[in-house]
Amino acid sequence: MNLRQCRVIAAVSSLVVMAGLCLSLALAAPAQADPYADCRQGTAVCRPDTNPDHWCFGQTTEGRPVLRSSIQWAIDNADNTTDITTSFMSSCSATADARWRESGLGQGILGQYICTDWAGASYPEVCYSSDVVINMNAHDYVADDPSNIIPSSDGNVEPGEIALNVDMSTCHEFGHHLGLAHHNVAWYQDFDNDCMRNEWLEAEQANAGWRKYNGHHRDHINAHY
Amino acid sequence: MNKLPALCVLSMMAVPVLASCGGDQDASSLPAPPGRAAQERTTSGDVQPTDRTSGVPRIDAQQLVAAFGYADYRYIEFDETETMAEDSLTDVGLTGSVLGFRRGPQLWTDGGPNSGLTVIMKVSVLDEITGDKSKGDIVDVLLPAHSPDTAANLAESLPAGASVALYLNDVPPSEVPATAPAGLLTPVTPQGFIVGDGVGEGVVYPMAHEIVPDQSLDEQVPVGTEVP
Repeated sequence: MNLRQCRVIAAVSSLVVMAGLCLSLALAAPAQADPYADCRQGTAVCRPDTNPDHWCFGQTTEGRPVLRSSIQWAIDNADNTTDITTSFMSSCSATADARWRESGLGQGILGQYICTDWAGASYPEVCYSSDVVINMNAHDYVADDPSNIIPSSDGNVEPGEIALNVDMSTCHEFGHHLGLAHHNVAWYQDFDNDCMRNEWLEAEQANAGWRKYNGHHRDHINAHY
Repeated sequence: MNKLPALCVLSMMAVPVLASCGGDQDASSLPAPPGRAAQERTTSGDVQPTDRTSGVPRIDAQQLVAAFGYADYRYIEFDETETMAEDSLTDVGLTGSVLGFRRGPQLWTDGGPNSGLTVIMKVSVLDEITGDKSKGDIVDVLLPAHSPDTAANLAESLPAGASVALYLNDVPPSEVPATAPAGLLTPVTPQGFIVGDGVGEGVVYPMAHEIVPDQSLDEQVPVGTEVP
């Protein structure tokens, strides 16, 4: 077989293999469209290890009963609706999987998850320990919206509106801790509502399902545990 | 957007080209992948990504986004950056040029490894969008860090001279240790930290984990604002 024949055979066989690969990938596309626990690529955050998830209240949650109540609610929600097992720690330490705290950085940032102990190259998608931060001042500010141009906030503080959004933020950030990514409005045309969307909620949306994980995200979490 | 079909077509086109069968084309003669910055070594030994044709420091968008891949947020999303500039949520808006990175103050511990770590990005202001900064001012921008290496990683992926548009809040003194530098600013949301690649081929939102190849930094500031 000469060089020309070799190249022709290689090209044809490669096309056949690639076409088959693409067909199989296309059939699997819906699952691939949702990155999970891909923190090194920046397309999604890390996920915890598979041991029981230890969590604690950080110092700045002291004297904030609304926040603590919402954190407890978010943990219970995950515990009751997915295969995760959680365990409360009375004081925070390096062994906590999730250390909750309050911080006022970034007026438009309602909540933040940050991995502080990446497992390293051997388990690149795993984070051993993280800080989960809720910005209570930002919730007050966005609800009131003095400039009245924040998307999805009507600028009127209605009863229950701030507590509803604090719940969505604690659910959302714990979702990041569990490896879940963001989604835009279009994604929710194909999947049930859940708390991994960014938009502000008005009080009348309290029962629209934005404070839970939808079936797709629960599947991600359950597959992990 | 589902990029799978285009990826597959490109892959099928590329595979025959790359099948060498012991031929005469070696890897070194192939053109560099698009978007890959040439690497030049400075006298200090640091790797400085530089566009060979323009000499403009060029960012490594993938590495830059990955540096912030350890954090994510729930935040108020703005459809247009101009709205973010108009909103009272934003204290300072500016365009500028990155001068460098260094470790910032540790904001908290709560017993966690690397908890509360930050980096400070020093930026030279080119033009004001909103607020009280003007050309030539130097601002310190507080960013989250997930490890002590974050500042070095950012210095490599976002080299000095890179262009940025920033929408920022004043950092409340109560949020930082007394030893922190005065006048710190921080992005109002992940959308408030926007990087141009230096040669007009797109923008990056590092904290929002977005690389947008078909936008320019000009589009992220109000009309009439000077862009580096």
